[in-house]
Amino acid sequence: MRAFEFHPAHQISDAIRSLDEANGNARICAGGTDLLSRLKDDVDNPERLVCIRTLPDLRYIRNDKDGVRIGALTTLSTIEEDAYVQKQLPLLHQALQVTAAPQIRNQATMGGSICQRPRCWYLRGPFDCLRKGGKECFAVYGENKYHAILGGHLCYIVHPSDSATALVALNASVKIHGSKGEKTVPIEKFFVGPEVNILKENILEDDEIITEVFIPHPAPGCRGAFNKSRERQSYDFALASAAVQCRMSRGVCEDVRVVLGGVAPIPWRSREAEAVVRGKKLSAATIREASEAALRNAKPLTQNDYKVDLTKLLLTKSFQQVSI
Amino acid sequence: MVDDEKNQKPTGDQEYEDTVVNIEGRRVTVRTRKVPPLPDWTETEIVGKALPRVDGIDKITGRAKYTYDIQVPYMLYAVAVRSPHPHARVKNISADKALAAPGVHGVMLPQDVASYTTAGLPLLTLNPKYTGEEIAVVAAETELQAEDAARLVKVEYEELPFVMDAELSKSDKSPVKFFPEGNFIGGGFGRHPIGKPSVYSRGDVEQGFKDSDQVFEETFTTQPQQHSCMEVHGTLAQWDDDQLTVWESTQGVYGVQEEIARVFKIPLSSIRVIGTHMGGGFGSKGGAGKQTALAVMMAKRTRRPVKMMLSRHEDYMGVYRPASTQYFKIGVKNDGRLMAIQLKTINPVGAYQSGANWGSCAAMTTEMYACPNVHTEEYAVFTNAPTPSAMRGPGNTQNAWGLEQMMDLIAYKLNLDPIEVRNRNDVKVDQVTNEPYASKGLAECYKMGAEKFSWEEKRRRRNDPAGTKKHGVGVASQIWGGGGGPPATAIVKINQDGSVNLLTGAADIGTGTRTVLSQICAEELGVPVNRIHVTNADTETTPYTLPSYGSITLASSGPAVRSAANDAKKQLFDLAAGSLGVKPDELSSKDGFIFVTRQPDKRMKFESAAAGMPERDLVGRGYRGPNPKGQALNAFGAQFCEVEVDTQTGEVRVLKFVAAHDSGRVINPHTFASQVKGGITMGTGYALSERRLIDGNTGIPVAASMLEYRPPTSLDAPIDIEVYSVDVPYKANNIGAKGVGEPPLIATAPAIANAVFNAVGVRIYSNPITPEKIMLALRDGKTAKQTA
Ligand SMILES: Cc1cc2nc3c(=O)[nH]c(=O)nc-3n(C[C@H](O)[C@H](O)[C@H](O)COP(=O)(O)OP(=O)(O)OC[C@H]3O[C@@H](n4cnc5c(N)ncnc54)[C@H](O)[C@@H]3O)c2cc1C
Repeated sequence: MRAFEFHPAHQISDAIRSLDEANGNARICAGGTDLLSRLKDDVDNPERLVCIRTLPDLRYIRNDKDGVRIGALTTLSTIEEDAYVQKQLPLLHQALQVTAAPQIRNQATMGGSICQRPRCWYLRGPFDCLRKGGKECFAVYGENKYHAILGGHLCYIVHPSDSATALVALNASVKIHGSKGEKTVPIEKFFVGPEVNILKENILEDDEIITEVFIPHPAPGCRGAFNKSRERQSYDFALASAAVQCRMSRGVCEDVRVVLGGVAPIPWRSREAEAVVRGKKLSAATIREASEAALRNAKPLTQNDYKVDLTKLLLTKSFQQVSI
Repeated sequence: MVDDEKNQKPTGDQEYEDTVVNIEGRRVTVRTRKVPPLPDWTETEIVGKALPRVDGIDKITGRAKYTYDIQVPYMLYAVAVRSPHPHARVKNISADKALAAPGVHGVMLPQDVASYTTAGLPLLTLNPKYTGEEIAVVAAETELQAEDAARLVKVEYEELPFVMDAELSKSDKSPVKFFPEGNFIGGGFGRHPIGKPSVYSRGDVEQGFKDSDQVFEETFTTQPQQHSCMEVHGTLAQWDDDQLTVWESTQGVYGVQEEIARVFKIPLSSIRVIGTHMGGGFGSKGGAGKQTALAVMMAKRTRRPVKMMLSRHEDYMGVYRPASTQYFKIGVKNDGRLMAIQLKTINPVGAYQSGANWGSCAAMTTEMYACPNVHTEEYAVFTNAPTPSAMRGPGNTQNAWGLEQMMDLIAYKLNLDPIEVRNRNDVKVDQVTNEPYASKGLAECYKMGAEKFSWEEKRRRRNDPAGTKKHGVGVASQIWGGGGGPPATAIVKINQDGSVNLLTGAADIGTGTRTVLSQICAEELGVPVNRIHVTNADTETTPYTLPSYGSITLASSGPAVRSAANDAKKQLFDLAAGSLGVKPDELSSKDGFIFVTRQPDKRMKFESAAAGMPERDLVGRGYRGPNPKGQALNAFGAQFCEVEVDTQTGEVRVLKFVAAHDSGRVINPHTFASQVKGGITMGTGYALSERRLIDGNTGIPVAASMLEYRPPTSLDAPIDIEVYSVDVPYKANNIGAKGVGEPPLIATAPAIANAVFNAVGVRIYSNPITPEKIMLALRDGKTAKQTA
């Protein structure tokens, strides 16, 4: 690991100033579970770490009339254990339960979990790849078993975050503080694919910090399910995952959000699948049709066509779980 | 260490004879001292008890100091500069900037070490042949300074063509020529000419196939496997004038000492190697590593102690069990009898000739089953990858994946119970040497394992055809050496208060050696284990023994310890006899008392006898004697496994393992079981998740971390593992034990593969059995042979 300056921030404004001064050469450090391994692997070499764990007041789960607000420094295990989350947001709860391992969930934060960088081994290894400003994607003709089947464009990373997949399905939004002030962005607009920016996975500027994640209360009758497949059963990133949040009324699906994880550079909202089920009963045939629709545009690479069937299956399971 | 040249010094002495020691499948002849036989233990008090580990508390409290933990004043840290290319020539190299960096005390370049090699490998090179090969070493006051300075060593490379694929390398289209005679050599130990495979043959396979009712041909592949030792490889070297002390995470301090003496031409008496506590080796720490020699040289150069521990990432770019491709052709009679076996193996072994030692895996096929006609042909193929090393059950672990699946496949084709097929081909005589086995409890393992597992009942169970979770059961067998042998010496010192020091050179590589040797010593002396303090693996204070490889430790050092304890006991009996008014040979000892055998109430405390020692202490010596002539010494086992396979996601859960092993007398049921459970855990990783991967297009490793390599965690290890010993008497050494270090791994992966086949009806020919292979196999009805 190379030397860096360490700036513990005591106020949000300090943190933003410290980031701003560094002109892109600083990184925010929250739980550090992702950032430190990037530093150790020598694939990210910031001059400065702005530590935000020292900020007061960003560890909370608050419930108000609109929804639940989660401070950016709240750990994943705190969220997982929260009674409201368990009861009202089963989709998020299920996603957290299969995120990483308990030790990591104790340390990892809400903000860090959605800003974590992809796990592509070319990105994380000594390869001068497109996402690092280089000239090629090594995955296209290389070891691409874990790479994208949807939404790839020159670069074929998959977004690694299970919580992000869940939050997009829950129509969450993120509150961002920066030099220019404060703003709230729907989480779907937060993530960007390689066709928009091949160097980053989201819209955060160098001087911006996520301070809060907001999840609106699900409407009555809402149900959610999250299914994930992994290679090593104790803990592992998703080979694929499928989140379905859906409002049922008299057996009919009134409203629905379908998001796929581990298969695309961003949490992949499948409007195709949503269109199939909206306004219908979730019969086996409809579910099959929706799962087919979700993967219709999949473009597997040389080693990952198994992901197509796997994702259909996970999506089918999630649909079945919300339909019961 | 034992090598062939060294053991050719005949002495005419009547007290010596030649004996054969089987080490990792190599049969080595060594000259050894004859030792007086000791009576078999009939009833034992301490041996056979499930006692806690003597160093258990030290280990769990962190008090046990491993090489990794050791700090000495003024210590520097050394870090290697490694080649970023799989094949290159260094055009220019400059250390100026690195030498000027803060905290740096020394840089070594290839020219500084050019005259040295270890295990046939250059220490540093100007012509790197794999990504990660060492080019230079930097030493600085902190690890981070050393890392920073390593980046400042300026190396200009000319990139050269490279080859990663063994079949391509072997063909005439290879872009790299490793040797003028070709890119392969016969796999295994011994001198093989380059460009020729190693061949074993008996009978006439063509005739055997003609005489067969059915012939099966299949190809299996195994992935490279990493040792994943909890303690990485590393050395701390300290010079004190001309005296060198080396702390090394090693399986054998004497092997390291000999190698340092050989490389640097210094007397053994000037080199002390300490390896008391070490965090796992699994074959990868059999002798000195490159970092050993580099740390020693750097320490000399900088006049400071130098520590060189590899990082986890470097460890994962280093040694490993080589991959294999196994082309099997087996002919059988309809009753299951094997008529002919033909096996060709391709084993990629990295860029150096010494890697070929481990580029062989056919031995199990030649000896496991009765078969009159066998032909094997083994190719160790050079590629631009790191050099492999021994790894737990080298060869047999790869081969069992193929052979034990072949046996299973034959059983299903012939509609026979897989155990029945194995029993019909059981042998009492080593098929290669024609020597009878000193003991063989394999049939007992099948019987006991099947009964405890409810094999027949579970095999009869049928899965619900509509369900998506299918249960299946499988079995596989193993054979391994583990008879041990000389040289191994032990010293038992009785102190005037009756406390005892046991000195043994044997390493405790996590197997519990210190505990079981203490038990043997306590048993023979007749004192409780807590009276014994064991000092081990220190060349200055403990006597010679071979490294802990080849599952030989217990069966080598155990008998020496018993002999040493017996020697000490006899000396003490000489003193006690006078006080008790009997002859020494009328005495026995037990529970801390020395007593007249025929009159047990006539007794004295062990420490009272010790208090009477005129010299204030007493030293017993013991040597490991020869193995019995003309007998094959092997350990056996059978493992039964139940899995649940999700036919939709392809995920496999291991529900249960029953392991029945024949390793003679069990000295401590705890340490025995922990070896077996550890082997099954490692085998579960080999079967299901572990994958060492080098990107074929660039020659750069891409899964060099615990996260990507995916060894099983405690949550992935099968929870329900039952371990049994069949307790077949074994008389080839004075403690009646054979090794159990490597055997438990060998059968695990094929047992899982066979259970998966039983569950879902598709056979997975390549490990690891990942969800995607099962999905594809079930979807396409094809057998996922080609998916790596
Ligand atoms: C072994 C292992 C297994 C894992 N398995 C999984 C898994 O199965 N599923 C899964 O989803 N994840 C998994 N992870 C990833 C894990 O969830 C993330 O590492 C973690 O959530 C990151 O949180 P952190 O607080 O430690 O972030 P840090 O490491 O501190 O930061 C991560 C990134 O986010 C940025 N960042 C952090 N906080 C903020 C903020 N408030 N505003 C703006 N930027 C910020 C940092 O600059 C950095 O780039 C795994 C990680 C490990 C090490």
